[in-house]
Amino acid sequence: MKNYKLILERFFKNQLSSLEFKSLLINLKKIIKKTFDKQFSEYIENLFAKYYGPDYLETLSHELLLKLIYKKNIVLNHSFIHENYLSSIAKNLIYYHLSLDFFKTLEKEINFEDLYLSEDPEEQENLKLEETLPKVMVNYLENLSLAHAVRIIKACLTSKEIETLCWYILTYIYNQETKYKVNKNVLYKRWERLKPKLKEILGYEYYEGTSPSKFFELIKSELCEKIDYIIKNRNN
Amino acid sequence: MQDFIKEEFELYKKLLQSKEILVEVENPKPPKVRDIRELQIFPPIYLVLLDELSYYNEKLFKAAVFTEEIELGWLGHTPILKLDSIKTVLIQLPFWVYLEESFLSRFSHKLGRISQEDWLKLTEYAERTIIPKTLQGEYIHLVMKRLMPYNTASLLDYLEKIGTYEETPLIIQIPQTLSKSLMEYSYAKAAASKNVFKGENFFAIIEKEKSKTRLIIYLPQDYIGKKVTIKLKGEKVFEGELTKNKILLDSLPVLLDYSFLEEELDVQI
Repeated sequence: MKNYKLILERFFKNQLSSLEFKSLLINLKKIIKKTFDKQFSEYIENLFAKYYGPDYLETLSHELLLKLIYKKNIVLNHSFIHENYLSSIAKNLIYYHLSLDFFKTLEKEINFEDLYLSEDPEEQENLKLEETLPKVMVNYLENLSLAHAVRIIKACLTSKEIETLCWYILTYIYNQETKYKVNKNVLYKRWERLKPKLKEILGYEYYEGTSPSKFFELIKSELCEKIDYIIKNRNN
Repeated sequence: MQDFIKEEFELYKKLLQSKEILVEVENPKPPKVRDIRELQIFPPIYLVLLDELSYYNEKLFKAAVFTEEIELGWLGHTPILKLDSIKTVLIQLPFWVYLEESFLSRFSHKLGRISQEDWLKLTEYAERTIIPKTLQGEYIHLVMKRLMPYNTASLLDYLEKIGTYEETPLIIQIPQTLSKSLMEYSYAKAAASKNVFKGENFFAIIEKEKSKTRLIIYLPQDYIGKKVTIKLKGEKVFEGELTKNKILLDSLPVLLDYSFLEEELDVQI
């Protein structure tokens, strides 16, 4: 397990030889690549390659160094700098670029001399909240969040409740004919009881999320189609 | 189906230190409402100051909390802030904390200020959003827990400091019938019993003695000279011109938990 503390400490003091600096950059590139592989999808990484060209890892590693310089007081207070620590900073850097329109601002080269001169990044006055995020970022976050929500729903609901949820979604959202043996009125009463439980799990009404259609589609494919298969086999 | 949220949450927990290290800033700047500040801690926590509560020379700030852990904090319609100068994107978490002026000055670094229009959006999100019962919810509770020592210590320090400014409080005797009716809360026990409360326009602290409990209420200084009504469980216990902004309600029954006061104590001007 590599400790990056010493090499970063020497980097902050501008004491690295050009060979050592190159080796640090290579390691940072590996960490960024791992962050893409483990924490993002291949599609997201391909977008970086498409918009920023084949040197995207090189440029991101420069930006990661910039962030580390900014955080140097906190970094130096840690006795051990594990690569997970650096990966967590790289992850936010990737999100930052995803939040930009058309990936415009990746700088190709950073002048480290200038960075050493400026103690603090300039304070930004009247920062505005982002009204909209690029579709690619919203889609990505939605997919993560919904995949997790469906896993939690599966773990928290009883088999009867999952059956009820599927009955509601298939009947009322997809207008499909369902072959449940339970009386429709009973299922409807069960559904009324289930709604508040779903709200408690999700934190919002099931139809109020950013993309209810995606939510229903995921429930249908991950939970209902399996149940449907069981019911059909039971009936045959 | 891969659950990235679960993996991210596990990674986040691994990054936490057994003991939090708070680093002092090199060039402290006094906090102001609408400041965006980075708490000098890792994994990082950011704050936007929403409100300032002043009592004589002591200041306490109500702060919205922001994080870099985008996927763990994103609940759909979550406010997002981009800090271009440090190439960082932040997302708001649905809760707020109270922090003392000296704590913010020493341990947080000012990054900028938000606009007046966004102030309301952040307040609403912090106060109205329901925390889900998913791992995202667990993550939000974990950040709350990380901030709890500074939040509670700030509240207690603040009350202790403002306590030294006032000589004698205005004493109000609670009618016995009302005191008895509060016994209905004798079986109540909150998850975390607390002695300090923050109402819409007051701070209150419980003082426990052997056979009785007193409640000290601190009101804003500018209420002095104004007509104030204090109601407890819907019943008026004081109405009149305020002469002091420290009020002592004597006495409440001895109970295990007084959390109900947050709902049942009402101060109107």
